Amino acid sequence: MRSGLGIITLLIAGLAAVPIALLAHHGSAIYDQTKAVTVQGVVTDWLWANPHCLLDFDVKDDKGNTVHWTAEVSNPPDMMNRGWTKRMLKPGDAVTITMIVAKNGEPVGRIARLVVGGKTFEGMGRVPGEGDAKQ
Amino acid sequence: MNLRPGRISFAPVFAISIVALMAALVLPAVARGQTAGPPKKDAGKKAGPAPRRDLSGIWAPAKTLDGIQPSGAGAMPADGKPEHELPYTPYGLELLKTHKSSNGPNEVAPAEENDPAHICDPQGFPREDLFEVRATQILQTHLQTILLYTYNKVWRTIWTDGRELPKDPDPRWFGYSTGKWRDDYTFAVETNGTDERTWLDNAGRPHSEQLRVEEVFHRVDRDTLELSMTIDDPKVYTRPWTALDKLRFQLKPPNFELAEMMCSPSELAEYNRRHAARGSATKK
Repeated sequence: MRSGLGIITLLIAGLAAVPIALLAHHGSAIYDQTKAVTVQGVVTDWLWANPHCLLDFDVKDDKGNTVHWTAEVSNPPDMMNRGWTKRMLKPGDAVTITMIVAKNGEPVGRIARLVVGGKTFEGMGRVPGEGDAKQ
Repeated sequence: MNLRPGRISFAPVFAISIVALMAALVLPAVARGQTAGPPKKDAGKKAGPAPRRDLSGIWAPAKTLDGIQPSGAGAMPADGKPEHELPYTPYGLELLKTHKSSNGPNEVAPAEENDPAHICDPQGFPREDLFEVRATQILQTHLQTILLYTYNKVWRTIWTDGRELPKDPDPRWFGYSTGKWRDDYTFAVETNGTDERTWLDNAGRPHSEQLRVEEVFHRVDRDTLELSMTIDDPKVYTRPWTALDKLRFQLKPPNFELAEMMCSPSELAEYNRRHAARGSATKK
């Protein structure tokens, strides 16, 4: 699945080796925290739930194959503090997502920044290399 | 007005009634120094003095992350630093090894962890103070001080009626708590009888049924409350240690609404199926 990354917009946003501070239940053991990846996709589902909200979205690779991603942010109260809502995303929405991704190559990530409808929302943790984690 | 005998004009009676009603509604709030909306704090001015023997109000950690404590007890995080190593007994060290946390220096992938709170078991006390402590409402009666926590919408009762802690209690998730005022602004709480299935914090620090916890709430001024905590468990730790050192809370407006933050087994299962299991799978 890692090969899918070659066909999406790939952005190495930083090489910060410092672990990203955690903001909720589950740790960062599954993630490569040294770099961020930016992709453009289409929302298929938005789960507003504990312990973490989940966004499912499809990304087309350069061969026209669809890669189905799942990426998390923090819990609803924390995300509400950052301006997120249960109704802000719906299937079919075009999104640009900057995230850290799983070390094992699965299309699984943690969203650090999301752009939808021309609006930018800060996600969970920080984009590696851009400074301290948000609370 | 030209009132004729035997007839009553309702206009002045109505006006007086309205004034009296408004006074009845407004004056008690004024007497308490409250308004309907958030209290106004003059920019640059210091908060007023703390009221005597009063913790009531809605309090939130001054810095959110200080309350979440993702790597364990705020004053003693599991960050690998020598000064944060806990004084385990041999038994305590063996117990620690059985706890697989997804946080801290020995973190494991979500699929490999065994954090009881991550299957929606109650996180219990003192973990309620040592992980995800968020806006908390404190209520006081002449017999009890009651804490209403945001996380999982649980509450604790701290008895202030002079009773002693139970001598040989049946363990329970949140134990048994009693409190006394040390002075007009310092409230000390003792807790025992906690359930050893719970973890002390997010890093998986263990405890036994011998655990005793001391919390000290110190109201610095009207808007500021500090919480310190000492862990004493001779079966697991060779000496008492400080888990919280003046964790600072700020008073929220009286109309502040606590968020809903619940552990739902079905939502957790969905998270694990869709995300954690995939991210934890063996590398391809």
